[in-house]
Amino acid sequence: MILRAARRKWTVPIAVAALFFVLLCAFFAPRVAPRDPDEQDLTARLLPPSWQSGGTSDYLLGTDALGRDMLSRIIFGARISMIVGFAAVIVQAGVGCLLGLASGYYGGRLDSIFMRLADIQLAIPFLVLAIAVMAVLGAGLRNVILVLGISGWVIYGRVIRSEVLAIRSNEYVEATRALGSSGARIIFRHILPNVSSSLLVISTLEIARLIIAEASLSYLGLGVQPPTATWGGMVADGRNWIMTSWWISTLPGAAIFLTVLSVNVVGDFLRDLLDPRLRNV
Amino acid sequence: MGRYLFQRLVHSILVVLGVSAIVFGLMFLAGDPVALLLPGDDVSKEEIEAFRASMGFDRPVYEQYLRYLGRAARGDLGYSFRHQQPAATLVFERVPATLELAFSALFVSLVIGVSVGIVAAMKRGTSQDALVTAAAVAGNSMPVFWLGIVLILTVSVWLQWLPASGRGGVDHLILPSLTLGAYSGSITARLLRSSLIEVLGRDYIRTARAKGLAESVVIRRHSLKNAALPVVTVIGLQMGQLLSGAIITETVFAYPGMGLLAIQAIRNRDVPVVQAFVLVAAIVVLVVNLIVDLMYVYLDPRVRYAD
Repeated sequence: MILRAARRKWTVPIAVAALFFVLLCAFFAPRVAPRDPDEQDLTARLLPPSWQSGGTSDYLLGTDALGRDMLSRIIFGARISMIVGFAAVIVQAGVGCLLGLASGYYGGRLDSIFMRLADIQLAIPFLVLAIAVMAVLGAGLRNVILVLGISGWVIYGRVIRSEVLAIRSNEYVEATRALGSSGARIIFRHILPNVSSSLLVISTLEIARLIIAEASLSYLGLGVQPPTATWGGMVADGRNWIMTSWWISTLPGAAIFLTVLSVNVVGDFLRDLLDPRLRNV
Repeated sequence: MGRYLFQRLVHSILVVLGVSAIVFGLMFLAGDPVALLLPGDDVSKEEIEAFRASMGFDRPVYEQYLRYLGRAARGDLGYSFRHQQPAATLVFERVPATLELAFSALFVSLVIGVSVGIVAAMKRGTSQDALVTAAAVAGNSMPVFWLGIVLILTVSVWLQWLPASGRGGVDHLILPSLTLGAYSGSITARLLRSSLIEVLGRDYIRTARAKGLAESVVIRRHSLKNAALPVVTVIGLQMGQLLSGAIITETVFAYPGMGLLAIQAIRNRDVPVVQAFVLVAAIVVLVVNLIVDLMYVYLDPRVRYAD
């Protein structure tokens, strides 16, 4: 079904191919990249991309202010974006599902506590919270994943909760309960499979948001620290050289844009296919 | 209606209390708050203990929180050792600049979103519609800081039309508000398109058309207000996003708002300023959402008579 629908929209196969390409780059970065991303060559500083006058074919996308190869850094930067995107979405989905399932199934005081917590968290702008926590905890890959993961649970929690509320009163759930199943068993065996398509849709769209969030933190200097190549960090490096060397900021930014665009195209497609009700979430 | 607004107000106050607890808890996230607040490593043990006692960090946590709340209620949000000024003063000084940026971005996003959304809905299914929808997805996928840098590069560096940084006249505000407004503009456009399409399918619209009204009148007088409801709701939700984006936009354009202040504070480990910033940002979001609730009452009479 998915394949047939995908063939009708030409953007979807392209987006999937692009994503596959980025994932391959991230996975095989040391083999794909032409150079060591951290190797500095001060005699080759600020070289433009090869197609511009002054560029050489040794550095296809030029070099940055320390003479590092832009192409290799962009390829290695894909690793951080992908790791954070996927790891944080797993944390988010895990926390959000647990709270949403428990809240929807048990209701009562537990429910109102979780939902108040969600209200409070929604009042604090996402990046404001992430920045504040990063400031106290300190930068680094693990903290980025943790902060982005935990600050994004609300959307899962709310959607899953409302689905559980609808499913809970179904007869098959009543029947299992009458047969003596425990709450946990009902939740994981009978309710979770029914919310899985919502989960898939939200997760895909969240990965797009998380990649941007990670890049934003790195841009602000609060993400994974240099010299590790991150797309956001590379854009920040280039900000000081924008008057003379346009490629340092714009090329890694274009990598973020195209990757996120591909994820969004796939996510929109899955949403329209599996769960059009989620359109306004 | 009075009861509805009263409920919303009470709810907002409860949320502010919750936010204040989180902000207070931030200090304990990294362990000892004294180590976080005392700058430098050359502080003696006696000094540390004296500081702990003078700041009340030797008291039970709940007592510390109540004291924090009491001080916050009187406008005291801590002291920035870095700036030698109260944190509240520092943040409040920067609020107007950020609000100026956020509201002009909101204006940009509404102008883009509403005009584009109407066009797409009226020309539904045509290539113009497809183009607009594609542009909206693209706008949705663009990192704010990158759009800002691309605009600086093209408009300021290459064309030399507008200044690339700082705060001043309207010319300083154009690029930052475009940067910040593009994202929410693309969301508004998509949302208005789908909600207009839904409204345009209603019976009373068919009646209006059957009366022989011009299409522009049908859109303006009969459809827009009804289609605006979901858009207005989202504006409230987007305020948070605008503030998040404002931090980045201010950093890209060296625009002296509270986001830039917060980023500098983080680099200096100036925790009280960061805390004050989070609290003020949350209050701004809540106030805007209250205003949105008021607009709801105006837009949708059903809310007025719901009691």
